[in-house]
Amino acid sequence: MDWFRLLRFRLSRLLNLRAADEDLAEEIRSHIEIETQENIARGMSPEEARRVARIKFGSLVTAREQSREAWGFRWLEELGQGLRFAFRSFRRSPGSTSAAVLTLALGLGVGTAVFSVVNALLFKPLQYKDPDRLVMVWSVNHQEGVDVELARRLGRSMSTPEMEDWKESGIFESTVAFGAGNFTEIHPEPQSISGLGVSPGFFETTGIQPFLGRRFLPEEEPRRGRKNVLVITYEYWKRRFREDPGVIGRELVVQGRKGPEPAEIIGVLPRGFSFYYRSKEVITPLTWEAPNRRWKVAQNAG
Amino acid sequence: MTRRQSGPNRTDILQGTLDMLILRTLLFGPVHGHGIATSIEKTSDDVLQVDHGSLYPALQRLQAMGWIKAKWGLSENNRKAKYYSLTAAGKKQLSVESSRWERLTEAMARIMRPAKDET
Repeated sequence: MDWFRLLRFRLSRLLNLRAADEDLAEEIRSHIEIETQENIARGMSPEEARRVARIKFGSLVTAREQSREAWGFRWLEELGQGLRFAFRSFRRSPGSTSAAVLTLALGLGVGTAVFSVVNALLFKPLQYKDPDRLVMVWSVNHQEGVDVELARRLGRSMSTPEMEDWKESGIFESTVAFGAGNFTEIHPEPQSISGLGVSPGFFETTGIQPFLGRRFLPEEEPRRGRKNVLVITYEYWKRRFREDPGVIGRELVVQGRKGPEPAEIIGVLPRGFSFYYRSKEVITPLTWEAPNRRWKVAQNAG
Repeated sequence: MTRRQSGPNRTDILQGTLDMLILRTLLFGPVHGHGIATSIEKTSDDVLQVDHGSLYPALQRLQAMGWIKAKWGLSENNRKAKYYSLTAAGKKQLSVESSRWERLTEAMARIMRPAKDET
């Protein structure tokens, strides 16, 4: 049997159910009409001829119902009945229904959540250049009881001189530092902005590329008195600037050490950028006065 | 179902053989539903009774199988009617079913004949 042809036949009937029904009704009418004419030809009165023809045909309803069965919609009707029945039984016992629904919802939810974490951590490669050669280094102090775990938890890493040592050691191809660099935007209204402070070479090392504008230049390594520059994330760009492509070159007014300072937007990162800390809005060059107090403290301590 | 004017020599069609009879009737060209019913009755010298109502589910079934196809046309007395005709697959199916039917009747005959002889 050619199941494909059967499927096509049923589908065409299903899509034109009304037309198919009407077609069949028309055909049956024509059948009875022909029979009636023949009965008249046999000498019956028109009324008698029609009556006999109807009797001979049998039940119109049965004929049509059984024809429809050949179209294969029984399963659809039964599905509808099944759903209605299920719905009614759910209504009758709301307790066990909600228990079942909750179980399913929780199961699906947890499954999805676990999968998305596992997917991001294990299956998807990191979205950086050479992710298998990217490592993170913490310094530990066993005398003070600071092991890697604690250092991670404190978010504390190393001082500038320490980092310079690493850099010069030649162990790594390139070495960059980063830290949380939250700051306050003053104008038009004060709001806290969560920033990621990065040392020069961050974009080159990670291979992250702004999709609008540019990344920091080496000479933009911040020094006191130099103009502040910012690279903003896609999400922040969307929320704060409504995806305005003319955002490059605009300035935010931020709280500096001695009061308001301008900070120029030089780039926008692609959608979904994430680095160590989740949901950072802005990237700043590290050793900014205001945002990187921790870095400064570390530097002084070193 | 109605049992109409069923004389002693009239019999309903054996279950499962209606499809085969329809295919056989269409072998000589397109016929409409009513024509198929009367043709079966006449060809069997009015021994076989076609339940006209059950003809249409059978015709739908045969179409679904791809053994026959339908087309609206005009009857002899200028009435709109749907004409059925055999497809290539239908012709093949007819030969399958008629050889099966022959085997069946021969087997039946072999069983029934001795009993007839003994009475």
